Amino acid sequence: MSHPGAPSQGRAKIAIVIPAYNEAPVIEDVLDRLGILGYHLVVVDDGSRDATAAKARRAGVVLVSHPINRGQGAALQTGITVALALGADVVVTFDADGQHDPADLPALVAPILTGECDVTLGSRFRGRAERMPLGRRVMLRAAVWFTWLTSSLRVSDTHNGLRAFSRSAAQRIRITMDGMAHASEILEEISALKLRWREVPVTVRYSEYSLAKGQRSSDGFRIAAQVLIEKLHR
Amino acid sequence: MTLFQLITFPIALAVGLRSAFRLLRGERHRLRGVLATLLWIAAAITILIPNATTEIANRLGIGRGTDLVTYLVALAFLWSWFYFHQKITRTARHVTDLSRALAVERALQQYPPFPPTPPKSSGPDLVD
Repeated sequence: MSHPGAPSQGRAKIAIVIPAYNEAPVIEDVLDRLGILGYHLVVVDDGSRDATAAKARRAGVVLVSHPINRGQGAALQTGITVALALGADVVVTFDADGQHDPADLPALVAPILTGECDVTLGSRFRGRAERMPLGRRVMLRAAVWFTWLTSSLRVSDTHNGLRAFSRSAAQRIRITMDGMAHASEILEEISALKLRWREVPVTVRYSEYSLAKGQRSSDGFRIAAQVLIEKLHR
Repeated sequence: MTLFQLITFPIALAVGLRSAFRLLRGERHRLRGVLATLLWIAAAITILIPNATTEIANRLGIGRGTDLVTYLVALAFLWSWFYFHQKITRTARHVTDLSRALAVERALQQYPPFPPTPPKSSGPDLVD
């Protein structure tokens, strides 16, 4: 959104990176709710086949378009690269499916703005998870244990798309896993780079749309396998 | 010589010799060429002399020749799985890098840096 009222000039330029793939039914609503906060919005259209890009363009955001679909991890890295190139001081990642609450953003970026930490991670288990199915809850708990084993980060929530990075942290973290395993990779990067991090309570609202679009519980096994195979390759 | 040996031995030998010639002419990656040549020559020998695998297995303390072949096939399968997985992953990353380079270049041509705006009392400040 070309950013009237966006914080800058002695104030932080905060960019919200929103990876989107076939999100036409909800993208306008998500951008409307974010737009009124005055942040810089960067939408990465990840090769959508629907009207996602057209709707984002109409909303006046910075629109970055992958020519073909490469996955959410790839889209996030592209969005972060563009946000940094355009001068962002803080980069926030935000899902396009409407699960996140823009009202959580000030609390998420505050510890970075005060210099308290380099990365903040949204946690639905410290905050609220509305209408979360039991299968998803079990999968996410298992993912937390898995993360404890693989990255030694004691987080309460692993695959939450709401995070914030200081400029220097965003420059140092490299997301190489194109698919959903990027969430585990980011945590491993935070651990390996010894970045200062903190969890912030956030609200995640599951809807029929987001559940249909999001990961299946069985995807957890695939992601775990990808992370382990990647470790073998390194 | 059985019908199976009559059919498969010349094929394995021909492929092994072709692999060796290509290796000698420098048309192949050296390590992969040596491995492929050895594999086909070993296949030709075991087809011609079926007891050879049992002989080798006994010397290695494995027992039966079929067990030796099973172990080798399992190892070859694992190696090829890792090899192709790595290769596919590398190719996928190159495709992503290319897509990203195109997307970033177009975006940076289209959009100016985030504009400075007058400070607002309610907005967040950056602490250096």
